[in-house]
Amino acid sequence: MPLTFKSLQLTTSSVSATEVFYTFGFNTNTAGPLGSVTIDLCTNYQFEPTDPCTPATGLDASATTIASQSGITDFSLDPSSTANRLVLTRPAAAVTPPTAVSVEFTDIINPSAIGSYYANITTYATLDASGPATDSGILVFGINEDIEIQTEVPPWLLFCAGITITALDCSSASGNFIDFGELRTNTTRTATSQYLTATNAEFGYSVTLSGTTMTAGINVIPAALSASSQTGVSQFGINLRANANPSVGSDPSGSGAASPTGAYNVPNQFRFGNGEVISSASTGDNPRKMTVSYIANISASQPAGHYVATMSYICLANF
Amino acid sequence: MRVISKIFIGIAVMGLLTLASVIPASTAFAASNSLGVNPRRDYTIKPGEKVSDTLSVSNLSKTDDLVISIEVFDFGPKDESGSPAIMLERKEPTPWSLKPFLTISNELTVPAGKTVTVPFTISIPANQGAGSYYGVVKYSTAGESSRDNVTLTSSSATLVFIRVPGEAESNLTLKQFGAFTPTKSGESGNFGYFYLGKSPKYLAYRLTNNGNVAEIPTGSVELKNMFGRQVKIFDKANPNNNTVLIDQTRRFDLCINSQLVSRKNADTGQEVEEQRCNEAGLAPGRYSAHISLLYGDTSGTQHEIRGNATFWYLPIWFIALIVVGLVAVAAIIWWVIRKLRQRRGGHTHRS
Repeated sequence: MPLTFKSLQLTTSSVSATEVFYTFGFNTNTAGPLGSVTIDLCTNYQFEPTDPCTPATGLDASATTIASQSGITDFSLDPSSTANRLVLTRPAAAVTPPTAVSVEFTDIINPSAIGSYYANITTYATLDASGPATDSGILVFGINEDIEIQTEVPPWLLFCAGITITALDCSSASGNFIDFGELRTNTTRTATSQYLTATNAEFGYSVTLSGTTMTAGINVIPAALSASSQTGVSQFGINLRANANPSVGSDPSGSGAASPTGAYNVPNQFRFGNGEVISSASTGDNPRKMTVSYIANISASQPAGHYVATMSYICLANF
Repeated sequence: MRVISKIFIGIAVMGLLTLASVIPASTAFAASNSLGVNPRRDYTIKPGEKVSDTLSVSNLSKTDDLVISIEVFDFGPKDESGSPAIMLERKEPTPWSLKPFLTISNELTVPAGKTVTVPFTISIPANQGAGSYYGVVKYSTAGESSRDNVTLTSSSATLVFIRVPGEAESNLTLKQFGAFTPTKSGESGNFGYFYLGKSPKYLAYRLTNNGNVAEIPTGSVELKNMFGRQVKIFDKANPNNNTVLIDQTRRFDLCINSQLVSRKNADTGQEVEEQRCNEAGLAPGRYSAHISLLYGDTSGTQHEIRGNATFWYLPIWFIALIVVGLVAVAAIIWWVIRKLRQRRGGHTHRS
C-alpha cells in the first residue's frame, strides 16, 4: 500500500554539506505489525521496491544516528544500514493506520552534485526488512548550491526592435515608424521591421504581439486571420517569413534556434492577433533576428481616413 | 451642368474611397528600443517579512537614451506550454497576484550603453496564506506619436515568483498520459492507442494544477514492451524543471529517441548543437508505459501521482507480413491435406 503522507526536511540542501540532519515523516497505511523500515537514498526513481537503487555520489549516512522520533518511538538503527540505506528496526508490534511517524537522523553528508534525489521509504512486518513490503512511498529532494532566500535564474534577456537591425547587433536597431504611404484598392502595401532576442534563461522566451489593427477613428481595417494577401479586400496582418506573394520579408536569421509560432510561420499567410505569441525559444538561445512583414489592403468601400496602429512586441522569459 | 457636377462628385468620392490614407510627415525619433533585463527572480518570503532587492536594466543602444515606464502585471499561461500571457487589460488582481505586495518605481531613464539598477520591495502581510504568488515587472520603451501608419515599441519583463511557506494547497491531477503525436508546430497533438503507420515518437502527459502553488513536478517514466522488457526509462519526467502554474493544464513531451546533433548555421557558419527527436525504432507490438511523479514542497510534504498507459504499434508492413504468413501457413496446410488425400486416394485406387 502507498504511504499516505510523506515528508523530508534537510537542515541544509547545499552540495556536500556535512553534519546534515534529515527528518523523514510518513503516515502508515496498513493495519498490522510493523517491525522495520528501510529508507533508500538513490539517484534513480524505483518503480518497484525490487528495482535497483543507484547510490548518490558523495552521499554518506554511515555515521548517522537517530536524533529524535515521534509517532513510533522505539526505532533503533539496524547495523545493516549503509551509506545510502537506513534500516530502522523495532520490536514488532501492531500499528493502527494512519500513524504519523517522524524520525530525525544526524550527521549525513549531502550528495556532491546538484540535482534531484529520491528517498524510497518501505515498511515491513519483519524486524530485518525481509519478506514482503507492507507500505511504501517515494520522496524527492533537491541538492543545490544554496537554497536560501533567493535564487536568480539565469540573468539576462536581450531584446531590441526597430525598422532595421544590422547583422545581430542590437546597438544598431533604428527606426520606430512604418509608413505605408497611400493605401489603394489595387495594390498591397507592404513594410518590414525587425526584432532580435537572445537569452541564457533556461526556459527560453516568448515574444508576444500586443496592439490593435489599423484604425482611423471608428473605422477599422480588419485584422487578417491567417489569410493570403488579397488586393481589394480590407485586411492588415503580419508574418515572420520570407514571402513570395507579395514579395516581402525574410526568414529568421542568427545562430539561435527560436522560430516563429503557428500561423506566423507560414509564408504568404498573414495574421494579426492581439496578445498572440509570434515567436519563441524553449531553451536558452543565441541571438535570433526575426523580420516582421506587414501587409495592408483595402476594399473600395473602406472609409477614407488616416489609419494608424501601435505595435508593441513584448519579450518574456518562459517558465 | 448638373451632369458635369455629378461626374465631378463621383470622381471625388471614388478618389476618397480609393485613397484611404494621407501621406505622413517623416519623424525623426531618437530613443532606444533595445534593452537587457533580468528574465526571472524567485524568492521565498515568510508572512510578515519583506525582501528588498534590485533589478538591472541595460540600454543596448550606444547612442540613444532608453526611457522606460515600469508596471507590474499579473500573468497566466498562454496555453499548455510555458509561454506566459500578460494580463494587460485585467484590473482586478488574480488569486496569485503579486501586485499587492510589490513596490517599484514607475519610470526610468538609462543612458546610452549603461546599466542601471531598479530597487524594489516585496512585503508579505503577516496574515497572508501560504502558496505561490507571481507577476511580471514590465519595462516598456516610450513610444512617440507620429503621423506614420504603424508605431513600434518594444517591451521586456522580469517574471517574479514568490513562495510563501506554510500549509499550502498542492493539487496536481494527471489528465492524460500515453503515446503522443504532436502537430508540426508542436502546440497541440493527439494521444493515440493504435499506430498503423509510424510508431509514436513521444510519450506525453498533461497535468492540471488545481492548488495554489506553482508546482515543478519531478519523477520518472518507463516504457516496456509486450514481454515486460524495459525499452526506455526517462529518469527525469520533467527534464527542464518546468512549472505548472496555478489553474494551468500543462503538457510535457518526452521524446523516445532523442539525439544531440550538430548542424552548421547558415547565417554564421558556426556549428550549432540541437536536440532532434528521431523515429522511436520500436518493434511491432503492444507497449505499456508507467509514470510516477512527485510534487509539493521538496523540503516538506510531498505528493505522488502514478499512471499507466498502453498503445499498439502495428505497422502496415507488419500486418501485411502477418497476412502473408497466415496465407502461407494456410497454403501449406491445404497442400499437405491435398497430398494426404491424394495419397489416400492413390492407396484406395491401388487397393
